[in-house]
Amino acid sequence: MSIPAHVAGLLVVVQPGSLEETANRIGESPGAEVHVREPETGRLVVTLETHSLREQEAGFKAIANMPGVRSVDLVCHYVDPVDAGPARVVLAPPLEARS
Amino acid sequence: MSGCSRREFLRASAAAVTAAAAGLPLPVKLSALARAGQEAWRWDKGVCRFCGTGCGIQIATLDNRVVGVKGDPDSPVNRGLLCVKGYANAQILYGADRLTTPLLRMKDGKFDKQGEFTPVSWQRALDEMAAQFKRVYKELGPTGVAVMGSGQYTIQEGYAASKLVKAGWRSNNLEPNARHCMASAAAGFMQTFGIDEPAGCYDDIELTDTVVSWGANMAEMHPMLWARVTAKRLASPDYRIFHLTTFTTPTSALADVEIVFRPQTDLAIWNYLAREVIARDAVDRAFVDRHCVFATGYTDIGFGLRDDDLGMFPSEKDTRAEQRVHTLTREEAIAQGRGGDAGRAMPQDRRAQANDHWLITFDDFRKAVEPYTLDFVAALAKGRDDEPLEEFKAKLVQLADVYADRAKKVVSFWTMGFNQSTRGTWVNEQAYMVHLLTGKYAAPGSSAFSLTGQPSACGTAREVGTFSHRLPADLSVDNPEHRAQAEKIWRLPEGTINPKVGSHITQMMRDLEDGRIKWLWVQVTNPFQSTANANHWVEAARRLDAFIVVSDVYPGISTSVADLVLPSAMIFEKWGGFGNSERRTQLWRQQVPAPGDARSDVWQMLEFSKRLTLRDVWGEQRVAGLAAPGFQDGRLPNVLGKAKALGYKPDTTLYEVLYGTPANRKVAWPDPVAKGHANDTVTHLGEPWFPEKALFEEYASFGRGHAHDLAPFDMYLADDVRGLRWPVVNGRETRWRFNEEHDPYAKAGSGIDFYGPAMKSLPRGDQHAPQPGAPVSLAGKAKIFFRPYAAPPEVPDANYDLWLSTGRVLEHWHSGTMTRRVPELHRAVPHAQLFMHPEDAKARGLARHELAWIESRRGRVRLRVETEGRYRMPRGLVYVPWFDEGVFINKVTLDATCPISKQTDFKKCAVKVTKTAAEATAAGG
Repeated sequence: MSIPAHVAGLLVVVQPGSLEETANRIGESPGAEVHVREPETGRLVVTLETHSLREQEAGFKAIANMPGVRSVDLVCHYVDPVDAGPARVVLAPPLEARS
Repeated sequence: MSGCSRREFLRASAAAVTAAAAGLPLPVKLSALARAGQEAWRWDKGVCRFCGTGCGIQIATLDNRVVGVKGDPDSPVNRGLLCVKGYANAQILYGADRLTTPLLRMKDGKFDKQGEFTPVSWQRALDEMAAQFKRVYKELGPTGVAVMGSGQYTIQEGYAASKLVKAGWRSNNLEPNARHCMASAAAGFMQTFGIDEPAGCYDDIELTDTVVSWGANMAEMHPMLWARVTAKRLASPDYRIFHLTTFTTPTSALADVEIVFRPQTDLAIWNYLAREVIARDAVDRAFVDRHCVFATGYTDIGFGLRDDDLGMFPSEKDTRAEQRVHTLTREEAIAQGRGGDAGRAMPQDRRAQANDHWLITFDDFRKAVEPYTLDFVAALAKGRDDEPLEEFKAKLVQLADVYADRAKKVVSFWTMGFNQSTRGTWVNEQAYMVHLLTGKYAAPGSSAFSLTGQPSACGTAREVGTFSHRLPADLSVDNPEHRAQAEKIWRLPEGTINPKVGSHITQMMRDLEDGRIKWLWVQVTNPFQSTANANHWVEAARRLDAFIVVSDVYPGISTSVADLVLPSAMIFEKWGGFGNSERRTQLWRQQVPAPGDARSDVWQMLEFSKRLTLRDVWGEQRVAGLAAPGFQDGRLPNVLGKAKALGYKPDTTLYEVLYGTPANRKVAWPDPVAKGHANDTVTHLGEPWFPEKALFEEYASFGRGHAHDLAPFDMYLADDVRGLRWPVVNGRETRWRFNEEHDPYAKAGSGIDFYGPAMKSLPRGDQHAPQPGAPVSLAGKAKIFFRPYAAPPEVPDANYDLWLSTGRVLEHWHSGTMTRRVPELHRAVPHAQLFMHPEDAKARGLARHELAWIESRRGRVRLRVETEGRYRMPRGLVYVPWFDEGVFINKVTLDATCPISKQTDFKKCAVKVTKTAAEATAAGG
């Protein structure tokens, strides 16, 4: 049984000259996979697979903050069709009642 | 397909889409995998959940989850593109805190206003709701209960609500949040043309020579339309774009001419344009003589504030006094042809006659616009201190050159900048004034076009008529013939429908505060965040004798003040339909089930209606202030006797009378149009009829043959249809209404026929008052209104020394309940900021990103200062987006409304900005 997943497609632009090094570093980070490397323009197509949106956000930030990374754009986002479990309900406490 | 390989396919798909977007080649193996992975996906057409543009989307589902969204390449609206919000149509369904079970405030197993939210069954929830309804209805009658809906209601939801409130409860207290959004546009259409909604359509973007965006930041708020404007501009060297605005926005970037004007002075700029058109002999005489008349109305109409002092904070006293007496400024005196009256205290005696208007002559009109010289208007309207006056004047002249050039086609666009104004109806009418004077209307490429903010502000709020004065298809509750028509279609006894217009949405909040409304059901909207001057209303909701029900998909400010929270199905978890700004109706199928116990709003209304019988609502009812021919003053008649003749008994439920009628039950479910898609409204109703189709067809019967013709339900769901623009006659849509070549309702030989029927008989008068005499018929004609410049009720002074304007940002939708749960959107704009001019910040000891208080007479909130970023403010004006519940800016805004449309002015009030104590301490240390 697989656990829920969010798959994001990222377009990463890296500094010229550091493409291989940066791509390898991204490829080693959790859930990330580099599919396309284009040395001419320094662009990478990366997918990022996480169990939650929060992890996706953290992974996105981690890549964006890596040395050699100029920009990261989230191009698409798929949700794996596995039930994400019961939703948490967060509600504010009742306000002061007025008579 | 196993979870593992499916995941592989998803990765391949994500890589394929990303590579395609960047124009990068994809390894062959990967693209084959991506295609194979999508073979199991079910794609179907839908429409975007967010703004009024109405972009077509394609939705992919697998195993009851939405797994993909893309722009529909076959949609004539957006041609395969989507904005950042559009791509979030799937993610908004899957936020971690979706509401999935009814929640009732309880203590010791019983409902208690001061209790904690406790999960309950639907039966328990609806039973409590009905008991509370009956308590309040018995005490206060039909005016004591209310429903707030929205321009995000599907057509069917709006129609179900209208029927429940107007036919069932005999109340007219049904209002959409669209009252805050485009009521001024609707009032402008009704007064000018006698029928609602635009003549033209989006095709005009490509057919025109000039786009003028009036106070509309289209680049952010209608991005896909702006993409079309951009494409046309880049391909056509002679195409011109003007952007009139109170501060620099991303829309300014593409504009050939940006005109930054002072808040409210758009009223003066339009009159300058009209004056120029006349002075340059650019009036299209043939068009005006044949198709138009001139008209005007009263100016002492107040500002839609409360007439009384109930619930008033002491600090609100001076602004509220404006409602009764307004001191005429020097500019207003000149602009209103009352030169000698500058500084005079003008009693606002025509508050109840704000809608009244009368015919004037062309000569009266010409004289009325005479004071609006270039010198007068430029001095009044120039928005940036640092812009030389001569430069500003030169831009106004360039703008006049375009409108006055007979050879140039022009489209004027506007939205909240006009509509959200204490003179919102007037400024809408002024746009038609210049377009009608120059004959640039109702023809391909020539249009004055009101954009809407919500996906079905047109399709539901306006066309279905979920307003306190409306019935479906432009009918009004205060018109006896219209009531009779509705009673016939709805099979109601004569005299059932209440002839007294209900409370508008801001008035509903005031009624709640005063205890005149004690039962409120909120659907598809978040009014306790979105209504101006919110401190009053949040407090009012907690009155011990008020019962507030909120149906929603995520928790927000409104659910937090509710007594009962009902979990709703959203967008693709139900069948529905929206109508966009260009009269395009688009329907969709249910794609996925709703989570947990969330149910469609249609189901909620149907199920609630089973708990009320005719005996509860159709006896004699008290309605304070009701006075109409055929009715006893202050009373709705007992119609239970007449109901017998229609086959109803006192214990017949509203469900049987309004929804599960013999005719509707003939619209059977299952239906081949579903193509295998489910309908959970039917599942939970447990009866084999198709409510969304039956309600749509019943609603459509109001407009067919009356220039509001909709196509049959099934036609909208055909594979090759991407929505149709009404009137749809003999299967053909209408692109330019009133134009004989395009609109089957325009009389043969007329050329142009302004056939709208409302308000087409007027007395004559002069600029200031009507004269006695028989009214004149204006059949087939539109009105060119003279509407003067008028100052707003609250302007910056020594204490509150800045203007505050509020609005949206690209990334967020309304109160952010959906978009703030999408990580990319939240990451892009996590919080609302205070946009201000760097010098204004410096003068208050504030630096960029420091915390500041923004305070008005009504409340204050804390937020961070932004002096750079996407908006460049002129000195004296600050801007705060309203999506962020953590920066609850509507505690600060003013609940003044246009007295005609009752739409709130969210764009203007007076505030002060100060450093917070924390920042001051940090700076001192």
